[in-house]
Amino acid sequence: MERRSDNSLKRKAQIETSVNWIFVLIAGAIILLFFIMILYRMQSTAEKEGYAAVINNLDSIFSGAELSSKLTSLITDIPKHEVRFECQGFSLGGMTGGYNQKLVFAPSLLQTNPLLIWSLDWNMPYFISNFLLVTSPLVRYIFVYDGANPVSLDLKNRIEQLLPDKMTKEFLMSASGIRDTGIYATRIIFLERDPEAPMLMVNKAMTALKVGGGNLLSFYAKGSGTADFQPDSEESISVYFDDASLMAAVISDNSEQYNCMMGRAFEKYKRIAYIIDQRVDDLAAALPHCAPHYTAAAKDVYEQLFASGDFSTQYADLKQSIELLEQNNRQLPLYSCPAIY
Amino acid sequence: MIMDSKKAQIQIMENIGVLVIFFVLVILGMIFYFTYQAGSIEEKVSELKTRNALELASKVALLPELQCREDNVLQDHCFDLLKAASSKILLSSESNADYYFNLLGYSTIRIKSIYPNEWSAEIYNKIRPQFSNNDTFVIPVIVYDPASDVHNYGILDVSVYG
Repeated sequence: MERRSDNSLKRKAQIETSVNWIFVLIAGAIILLFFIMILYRMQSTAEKEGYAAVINNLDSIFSGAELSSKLTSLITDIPKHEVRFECQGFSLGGMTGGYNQKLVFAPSLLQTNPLLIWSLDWNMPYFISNFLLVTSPLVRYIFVYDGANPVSLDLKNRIEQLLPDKMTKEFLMSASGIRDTGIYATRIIFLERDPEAPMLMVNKAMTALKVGGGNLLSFYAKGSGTADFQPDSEESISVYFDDASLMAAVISDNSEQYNCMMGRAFEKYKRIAYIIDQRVDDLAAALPHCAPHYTAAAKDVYEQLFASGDFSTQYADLKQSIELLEQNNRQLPLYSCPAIY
Repeated sequence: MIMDSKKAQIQIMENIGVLVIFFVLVILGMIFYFTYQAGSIEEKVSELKTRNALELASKVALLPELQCREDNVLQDHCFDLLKAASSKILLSSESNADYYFNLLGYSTIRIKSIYPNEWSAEIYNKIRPQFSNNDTFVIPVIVYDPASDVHNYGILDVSVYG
């Protein structure tokens, strides 16, 4: 009897110890899992906070840059991330920021450190807005021109004067010898030349732009492993109006973004054209001796902007009206009349 | 044996009790932490509101629809009176309502010319329904009348609704 009760006690003790340890292990695992979950959530929140801070920083930088024209800044104090720029805004790690009606031209993917921000005023011929051009010294811009073609040479000289010093740029007469330098991105701009992909960079994805006669622009892209440039979309042909829009096309690495921003720019143009047209009418009414000297040029610009078709189809007519408006504006001070702009 | 069994049960209950108290303490700690975070977020939101209001005032001061330019060169802190009169119509038009709301939000913008000529216009007015506060910024400006070539002293009054 005693032996049996001893054995039974020992068995109970064994079971109790085992159960106790199992219980401790399960409880410990639950507590550990709980703290791991908290740490994971905190890490994820910290990452999102970091992305939001970068988005906010970029937004502030764009707001500041928009207020001044012909400003170039190299920003090096933003954490290094890859930001995606699209028509509606820019995004990083699932966080998005809007342009808030700013006209921002940038490559579709860009490293934020270092960042080069450059603002150019867009005058048509009166001031409409500042274009914000966002790029990085990590993007290599190669301009291929034809030394024997005066138009190509003129374009090359104009562009060389406009580009900021801190931009990574090269001016070459042929694309065949271009080598991969390991830089983040490469964009080739052909000035009055047909695009040719560099033979030594077949494995590198890149984009290209052809600046042609009649202010025509053609956007191209090449994937890694493909030998030739192809039009980057169905609407890869566009136009530029002046130096600011030409630089905008150089910086935007795809036709979609360029066309989208230029479309928005033209919406702004319509509003300013209305204001200027009304201003001319008010001046003519307030100063009868000046009324004969205000031509219909401002009204023509306003009406042409509301004509059907997108901005790329309005180029020829608009160019003529703008020249007439410039002429009219220059003559007004001779008659002691207030200028149109 | 019955005593041993009861001891074992008591010990298990003790362990469970310890765990329960531990988790209660952890939860209390988390509540304090998240309450602190919420307070800190509210502060940041208030800072952002003030920053946005200041940004809006600067934005208005540099709207091409209003600013004075001579041969496309910007005249600082100057509003063109004729442009302001046309802008009033433009900013309140239905077709441009969305655009200017995205730009200016819930705010009221007034330009007043004080001396030598008095003139006043409310360029934009969009009051937030049931707003709780508003920040007002007054900036001294020049209001230029191109018809008479007179530069008037004036103010730009920007109220932002929060």
